Amino acid sequence: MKEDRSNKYMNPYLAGFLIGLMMIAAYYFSGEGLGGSGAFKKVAIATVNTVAPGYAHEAAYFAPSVENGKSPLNSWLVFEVIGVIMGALLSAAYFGRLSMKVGKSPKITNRTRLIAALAGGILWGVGSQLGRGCTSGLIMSGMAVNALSGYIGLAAVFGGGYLFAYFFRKLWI
Amino acid sequence: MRTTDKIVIIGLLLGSVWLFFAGKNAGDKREIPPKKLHELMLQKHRDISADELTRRIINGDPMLQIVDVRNEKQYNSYTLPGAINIPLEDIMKTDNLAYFDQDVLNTVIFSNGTSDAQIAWNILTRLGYKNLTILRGGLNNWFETIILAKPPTGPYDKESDDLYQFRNGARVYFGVGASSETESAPKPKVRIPIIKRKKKEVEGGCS
Amino acid sequence: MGPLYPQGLISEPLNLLIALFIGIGFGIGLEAGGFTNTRKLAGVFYGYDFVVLKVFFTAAMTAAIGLFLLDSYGLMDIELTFYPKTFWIPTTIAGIVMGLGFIVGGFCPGTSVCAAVTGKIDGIYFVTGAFLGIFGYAFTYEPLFETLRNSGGLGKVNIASELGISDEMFIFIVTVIAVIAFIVTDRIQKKVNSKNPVENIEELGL
Repeated sequence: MKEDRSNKYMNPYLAGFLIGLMMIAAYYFSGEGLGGSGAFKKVAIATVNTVAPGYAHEAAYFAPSVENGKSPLNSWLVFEVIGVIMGALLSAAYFGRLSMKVGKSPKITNRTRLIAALAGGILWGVGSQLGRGCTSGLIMSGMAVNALSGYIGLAAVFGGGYLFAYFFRKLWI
Repeated sequence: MRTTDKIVIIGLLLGSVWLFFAGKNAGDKREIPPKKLHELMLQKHRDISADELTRRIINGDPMLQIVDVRNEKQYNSYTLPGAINIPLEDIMKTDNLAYFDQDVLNTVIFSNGTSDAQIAWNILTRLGYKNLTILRGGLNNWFETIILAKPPTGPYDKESDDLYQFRNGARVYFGVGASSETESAPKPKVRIPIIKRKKKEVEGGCS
Repeated sequence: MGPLYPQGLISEPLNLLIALFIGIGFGIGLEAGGFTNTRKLAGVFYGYDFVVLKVFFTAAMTAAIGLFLLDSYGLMDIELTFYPKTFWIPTTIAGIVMGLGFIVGGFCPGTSVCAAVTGKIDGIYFVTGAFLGIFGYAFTYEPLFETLRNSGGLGKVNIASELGISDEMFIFIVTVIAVIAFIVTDRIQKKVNSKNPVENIEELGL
């Protein structure tokens, strides 16, 4: 009988070490920091550019990414995130975690969780654009080069989290 | 805590200690942010008077490094004793920057007036180099004050008189009315320049 | 000597291929570490699972130590890499917004993508929300956000220089703090879970 590994996880320190190595490689080969939200941005811009290229070339948010005529999807970050998807699939397949489900605390309903997930996503959508990155791009990559922005991000994101944690505890515990 | 955990943690600690012993120097130089630069520019002791510089030269201050940022012709025609010549246009050359890339010597920068010396000070301070001052009033003022020192007028005042005596003595030390003589300057210290990196903008990141 | 692509030492297609492979490594690290499980992610804020702290700081410090070692040995020039500019006002505000997003949504963009593709429906909703947020932001950018986003610019600031210490001293201090945090939070986690464990704790692999 096949072993159920679905609740087994890689040692967090090893996982962190692996990710750290990936960050070093990213800087060494490409001069870039690992990112997440940047790819979202490129996809959004590419979508708008396909549907309404005139607007995309005019509006301040979109213009810089489309001006040189290259597709915004033709970028390092997008390829990286495609890789992330592949890696996640590989790992999930190995551990037997490929399944449709709603991850949540048993104390709340699916509906609550999904609405919260949507809301959380919207917050990150706005926040990551305003803050020029998400946990990987802004904070982790920033910390890797001793950038002040990374540490400000670290304090703000985790500080913010702890600030609001109590009020939303019912979602988790 | 499991063994693997301990191995990674010890690895991190050792790695971070290793940094101190790694390869070339400590402390990558980064540009000073504008606010810090502004603060430094407003500080009082970033310039030095002709008298003070003269005192240090005569006392043979071992920590003193004098840099003449005028062109080669002017330098060869007349310069301060012990001064090395780094023309302003050449100041960003790797070999030349090496003279400033140190924390030990006190560097005095001068030109005929103050604007060129100030330009040099600005750019070097911005690059993070330390212990830099400029000669107040430049070489012109130095010449006026020291070489062409005038006796004090008015009622006797010990301080003014002492100053005049000092300047007289200095003039003798430097040789009288030196505009056509070249000073036999002690050889400037030779330093192995550290190769510094070029800066280039790189696009990227999550922004 | 690195970085290779910014100096034209490797071609663009190769660079993108490398991006793909690095991404794969990143994705494996995230999923295997448990970051598709939203309860594990939120655990750092409630004390029952500090996996986020462990992975995060280990990754950041491994990268920092590695990069600065490469730099010190002349194998790499950090100054040629993408060095982020600091905009303290929008970053602080955005950070707090993202912190709230973390508590409410239980993901960040990178982990939500991992979750979404491995079948977690909440991940899919999160990704959708993220796009909504981005489009909303994009279409209201000029009137609402542009000034804010460009405020508080300090340029490329290095935190070690700001504090007046060397890069390696700073990294060393952060590493020590991180290790202390690892030990302390381990104890906190044990205590929280012995007294009042969360439901279905076996799902968290604890």
